[in-house]
Amino acid sequence: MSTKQDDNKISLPFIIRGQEINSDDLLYQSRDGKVQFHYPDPSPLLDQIILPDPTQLQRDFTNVSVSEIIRFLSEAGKAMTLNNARMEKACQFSMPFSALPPSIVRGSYELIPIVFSKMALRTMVENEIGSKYLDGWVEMPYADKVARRRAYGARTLHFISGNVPVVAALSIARAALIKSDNIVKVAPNDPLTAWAIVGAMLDVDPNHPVTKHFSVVYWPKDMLEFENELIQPRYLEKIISWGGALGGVNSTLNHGSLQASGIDVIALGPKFSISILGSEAFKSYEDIERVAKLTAKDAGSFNMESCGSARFHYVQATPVQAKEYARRLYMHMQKQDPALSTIPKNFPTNLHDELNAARTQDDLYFVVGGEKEEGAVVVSLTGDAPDFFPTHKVVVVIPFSGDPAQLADRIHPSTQTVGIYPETLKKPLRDVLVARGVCRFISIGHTIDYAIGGPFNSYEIMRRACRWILDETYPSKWSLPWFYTRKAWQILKHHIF
Amino acid sequence: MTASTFSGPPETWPRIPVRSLFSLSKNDLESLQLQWAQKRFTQLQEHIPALESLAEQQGVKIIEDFDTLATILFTHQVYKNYPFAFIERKQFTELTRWLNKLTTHDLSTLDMRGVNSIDEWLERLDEAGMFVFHSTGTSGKLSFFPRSQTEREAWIEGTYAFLEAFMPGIRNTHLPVFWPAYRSGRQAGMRLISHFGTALAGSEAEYHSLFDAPMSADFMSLAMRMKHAQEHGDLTTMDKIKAIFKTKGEIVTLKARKAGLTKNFFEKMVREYRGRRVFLMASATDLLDVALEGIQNGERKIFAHDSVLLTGGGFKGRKEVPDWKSILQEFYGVDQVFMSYGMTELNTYNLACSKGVYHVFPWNIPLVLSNDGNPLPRIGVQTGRAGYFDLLAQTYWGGILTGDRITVHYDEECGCGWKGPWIEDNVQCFTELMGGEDIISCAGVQSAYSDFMEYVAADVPEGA
Repeated sequence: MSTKQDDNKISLPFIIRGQEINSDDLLYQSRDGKVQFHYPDPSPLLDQIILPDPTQLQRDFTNVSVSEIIRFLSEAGKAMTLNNARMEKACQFSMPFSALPPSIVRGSYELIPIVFSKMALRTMVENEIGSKYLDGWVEMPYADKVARRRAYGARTLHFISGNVPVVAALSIARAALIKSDNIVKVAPNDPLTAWAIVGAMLDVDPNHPVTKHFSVVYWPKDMLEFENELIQPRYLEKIISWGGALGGVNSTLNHGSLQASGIDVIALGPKFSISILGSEAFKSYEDIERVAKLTAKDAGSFNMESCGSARFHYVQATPVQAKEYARRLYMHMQKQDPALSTIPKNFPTNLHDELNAARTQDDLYFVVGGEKEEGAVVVSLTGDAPDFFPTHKVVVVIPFSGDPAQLADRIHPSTQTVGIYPETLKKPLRDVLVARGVCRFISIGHTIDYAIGGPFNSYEIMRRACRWILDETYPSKWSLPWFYTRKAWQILKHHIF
Repeated sequence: MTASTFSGPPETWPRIPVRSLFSLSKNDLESLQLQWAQKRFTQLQEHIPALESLAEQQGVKIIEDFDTLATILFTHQVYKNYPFAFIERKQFTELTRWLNKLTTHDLSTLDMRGVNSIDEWLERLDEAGMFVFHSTGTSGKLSFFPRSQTEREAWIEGTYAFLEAFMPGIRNTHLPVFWPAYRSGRQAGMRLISHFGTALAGSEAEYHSLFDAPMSADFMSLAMRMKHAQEHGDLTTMDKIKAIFKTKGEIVTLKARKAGLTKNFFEKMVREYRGRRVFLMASATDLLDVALEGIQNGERKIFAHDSVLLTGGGFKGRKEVPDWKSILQEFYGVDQVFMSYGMTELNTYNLACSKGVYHVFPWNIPLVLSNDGNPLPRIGVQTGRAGYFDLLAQTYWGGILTGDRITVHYDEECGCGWKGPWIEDNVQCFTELMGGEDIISCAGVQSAYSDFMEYVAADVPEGA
């Protein structure tokens, strides 16, 4: 259990249902001592954190439309710039501890007000769900009955990840739009961003139903009693867990038993991305140069801290072409926009050792760069993936020959995005890659251009975060003529027009 | 004692009495070590391609000082960076070519036809005069250290020197040996017990192991292959693996029976060897489990007080019992619990003295590096990443950069009477020190990529 210390205090206040709680009861310390913050003891606050009466949620949102929520969120979003004191504090805290260098951290904080812009929020809710399902009952065209469905919010516990601040922003925006009750447990690698975002809502209106249904808290792994009290089906309907299976988030929680208890667990596993480049990319030096410039952006952006970063590049090329590609790729990765990519921070010794080890076997590996801590490109000359997982701007290039579809056998099920060149290669690869777990295809050079409102990671988080309710009415005898006329029109409209 | 005792090459030093081994002044020791490191470099550089490539990259032509030596250490990955597919596809010729870059022996003409498993590969190498040690492969992949018969004698003598410290006269003494694990094998600890089990016991009959079977390198590597096939839903490969590893069922059964076997093993030991002087080597957890149960049953002071109880390897994920050493002493009746700290990369273990710290044999040069890889000065007390240069290595490069964090005392004497650098009893693995508790990320991490089954490695004695 953490203890209290007075030196160099950084505090994480909780926000519980429109109220900010400042109290430095406990101290979080990372093993290496680099990350430290004080936070209130959550145990005595449990009664305020939970929503014991589920009908409260429906009551509070009875007359609150999605449009009203968008208005409120976008108003709060205006205060989510770095001019806001909380946001600035979150950003400042993140800088020394984030795996990303300051220029990129600032750059990613600047994305938060964009997520909370009217347009982004509207796109999100309409593309992923359709606001009409959140604001009322929507009839479906059945022939024999009136069946209507509606998406309700749920009492949800969020375990959010802390590698990039936009995760907190997206999680909160989605949860607010669907009128859920939300308890956000922050990750110690970014404890303050969620607090800053919900804090901005607090400033706009502490009594708004959205604000009233948000809590931002932290508790340590060893606080088992608190956790067992909180995580119960009478208090929660959903858990959305970033960072993979719950075991990864909190060893005391058992995914299976939670599901069995009736809590719906939405586990968002860690993902990584790759590129597949056909022989067209290697026809001439000019082609290699052009392609490498694009894939460098896919690989190096956010210093590879993102799930969209293309870490493995499968290239339909000869060893000579692959080596040339590696040289160009390395060069372009070293010349990126500093808001997107810099010299990586805290380059892992282990990875450095792997690169040095690879250099000793020049029949097996061709290594460009990596002598300092700037990143590297490693070509696996045998066409086998090496043991190490490429991070910190180290890319692995794997040459292959023959039909690209054969690559499917080598695709890891945690693969998220695949950048493909040329475009014509997408079609023959799409179905086989989907079968292996891939959830997004993109033109090279665009992996970081996320489409807000798309089926993110193929998880459909927003839809799954809702409870979908059905209301069916069967016609009584006296209303049948009118009923059939209506149905005929409905079916005609649905199937013919 | 003068440096004349050390006039022979390092491989002869293990014959020097322990007292003399730790008698050199700092200056004498360091100049002797540096001179030999330089000699080794000259001897080996042209014959070990991997060393040549590293030295060239670092611009090292001559080893003028320890700082230069620190720039040409092999990271531990060097001994395991073969593509795993070589084993998967049974490309043992390619695997041999990989190993060939790490040794002065010419393995290029070795015929690997008919080799179908790692065990067979290692056997073929043994036949050809190699003496390869493999790691436990906790991460799922085995490291291979290209020792050869050339080092074998020095390894045996160096290990005797290590044991001599606990048991004066060990070279001429025989004691019943107890080892609650596999009987033999080619993993570092298994190589040791394969030789010393019988050698110390004086006969096969007095060498008591838990299992009669040798430990299979293939089985240790199985975890990764199965995992890989499972992840890809590759039933064909899984079937193939099952067919290759017919022993799997047997070993799973062995595992299931281990608790019972262990109980019988220790019961027999207590019953038949009570009051006698024995040699007992096991993991601290195994020793403690037996001791706690024994004490509960009213048993204590089982063996003669001058018995040798040697352990190491820590508590691996279990909570350390604070006074575990005195519990062991109480139950087993030994005067002392001997600790070892070593690694597959080094021929010999470091030696714990009466003060409980680790002394480094003169044939091992400890080097401490900062987090960013720069050598720290060889004065006072230094904490950092451990590097070593093993002067007993004659056919492979003895320079190794480990993942351990150590604290070395260069000048101050520890008080036990031995001279030379010593290491505090607080060796930690760097990876344990990095990062934070429950840090969460949505981007793929190593563990998600290669979250290997642990169940195989779990029973394998490490280090001890």
